[in-house]
Amino acid sequence: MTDLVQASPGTARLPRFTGWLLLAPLAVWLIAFVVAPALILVVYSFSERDELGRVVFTFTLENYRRAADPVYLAVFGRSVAYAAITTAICAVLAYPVAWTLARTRAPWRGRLLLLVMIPFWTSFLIRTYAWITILKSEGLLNGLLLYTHTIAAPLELLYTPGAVVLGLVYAYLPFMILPIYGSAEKLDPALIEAAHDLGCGPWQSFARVVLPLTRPGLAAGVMMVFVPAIGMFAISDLMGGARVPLIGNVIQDQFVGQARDKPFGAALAVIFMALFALLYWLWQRRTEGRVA
Amino acid sequence: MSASVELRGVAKRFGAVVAVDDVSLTVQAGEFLTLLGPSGCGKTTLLRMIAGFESPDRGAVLIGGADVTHLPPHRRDVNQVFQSYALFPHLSVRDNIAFGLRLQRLSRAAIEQRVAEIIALVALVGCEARKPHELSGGQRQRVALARALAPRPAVLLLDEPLSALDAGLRQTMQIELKRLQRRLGTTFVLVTHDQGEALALSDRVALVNRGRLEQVGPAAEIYARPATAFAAEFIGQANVIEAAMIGRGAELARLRVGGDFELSVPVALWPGEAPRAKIAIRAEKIRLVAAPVAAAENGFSARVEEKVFQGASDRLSLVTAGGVRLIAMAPNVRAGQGSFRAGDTVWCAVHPEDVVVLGET
Repeated sequence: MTDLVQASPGTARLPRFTGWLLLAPLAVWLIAFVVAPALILVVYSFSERDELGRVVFTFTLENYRRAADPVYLAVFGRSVAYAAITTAICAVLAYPVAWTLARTRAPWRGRLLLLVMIPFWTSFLIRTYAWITILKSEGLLNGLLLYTHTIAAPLELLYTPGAVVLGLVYAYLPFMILPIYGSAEKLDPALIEAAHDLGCGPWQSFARVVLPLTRPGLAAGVMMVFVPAIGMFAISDLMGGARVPLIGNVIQDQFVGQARDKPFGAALAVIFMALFALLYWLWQRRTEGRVA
Repeated sequence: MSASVELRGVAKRFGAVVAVDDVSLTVQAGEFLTLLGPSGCGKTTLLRMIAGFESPDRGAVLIGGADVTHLPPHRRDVNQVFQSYALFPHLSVRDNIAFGLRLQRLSRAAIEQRVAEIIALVALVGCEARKPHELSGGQRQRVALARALAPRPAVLLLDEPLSALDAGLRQTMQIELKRLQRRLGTTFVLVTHDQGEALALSDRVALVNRGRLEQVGPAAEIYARPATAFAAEFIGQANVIEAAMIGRGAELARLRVGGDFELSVPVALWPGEAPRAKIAIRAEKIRLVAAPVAAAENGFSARVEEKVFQGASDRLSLVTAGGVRLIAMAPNVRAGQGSFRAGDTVWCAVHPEDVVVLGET
């Protein structure tokens, strides 16, 4: 980008008035709904609450000290683990799908892409409730297994860690498929042929050519799955019951639940934001280093 | 010499399109063979069958005497130079060239030695650490060549390898390619639609048309003795005209060409008792003179309809009195010397031995 700008000096200038005008709606939106709330969170995180759960503005580090408590570190660790497992499963499932999509010709490619998107047409909550109907003790899956005498007693499927991971994978899989598809589509099929020609079997050509060349798509997919999965609370709430609280549930509990400790919830949220910002910065620096 | 590649009655169709129709061809070890033909003639499909990217519907593919018809590309002792080069963009020149060697599980030292050797061979010293996007077109071409040659394949396949280069570079690379092939003694099978490339490079040319082999032989032989009208017209510039036998002498036969002028050809060339046959006269074999030619010189007159300046020669479109259209070349022997102009009448002389009789009616 910078090279292009430098190459043609006439364009190397700030946007003019019309440019700012066009940017204005986005800028207002970002300030009102991203910057301002984030600032409020930061301010809250250094405050205290009174007995009624109201925020009292002081300056204290108590909330951050509490966040380092082993109880919360365990929840945090669990959240990271669940998000990591979810991301890994999504990546493994997404690659064959994205690859097939990228290699399919015109009319069918659009139809298959539509199948990936169709779940978005239904509310996320309704889809999660649908999973509950399938997984619960007297649900569809248990019913089928009992009917076919595969099992003697209903299996405990819902409200397990497995159910939470299933729900997360189901919710975020398209966010992994689409960016990988975007990368795979640009891959010249002749490169795969060249790899085969030079002695690669199917796995080797994946490891040596496909994976490195679709890494930008994979990286984008990882960001788009890992980050929201780590903060997700609805799925762990609905499909994990109260048994597997994630960090999202803890934060939610501070704001609208029984705990009613907005400053503490804000501190947890700020820690999260800082962590993601750090990860993103490291990732960005690495990719830029590779290009240069 | 032994057979390096052998195609036995291979055929392939894509849906309703017959790409290759019963082709049998043997490439000798160390030979430079070119599959030449117009686009869509099936030459690339033939190459991809040897590489293993396509499997024939019928027939067999043999490499070094072994049947490889059902072997995948990575188990065949052939490597390909792709038309788009297909260099791995994420790997340096060195890693691209070492790609095939690493898969052969050679020792690190052996790989390094071979890479250095091949980089020197294709004159890429100093470019080892660069990525493909940092190279010029000609350099990319060399990397593609080096990458395919590094694992010492029995056969090197080249799919229109020079088509992406500009004219000057293409000629340089032609010479280098030929030199490389002679030096390595590897069997080269090249696909091209460029007759000049085929003539310049190959020991033998296999002319492909509509999924079939039209003629196989040394380039000079196909040029001098094309077997079919297609062969005559695709290689070089030839006038293919129908001729009728009007008089048979002891040595020469007299023909009426295109229902118009008369020409003599050696009677031995004429296909038996056939009353009519197609003949081909190469554009550059027509000698043009301003004064009438003697009957003994085997000539006829024509009017210049159009002249196209081509540098080394003028390309003339001629029409005879009877309406036969011919292309002839008038070489620019001396600067400023008056060539012919549109509207001029010229006399054309053709040596009887230069008339090609195509065995068809």
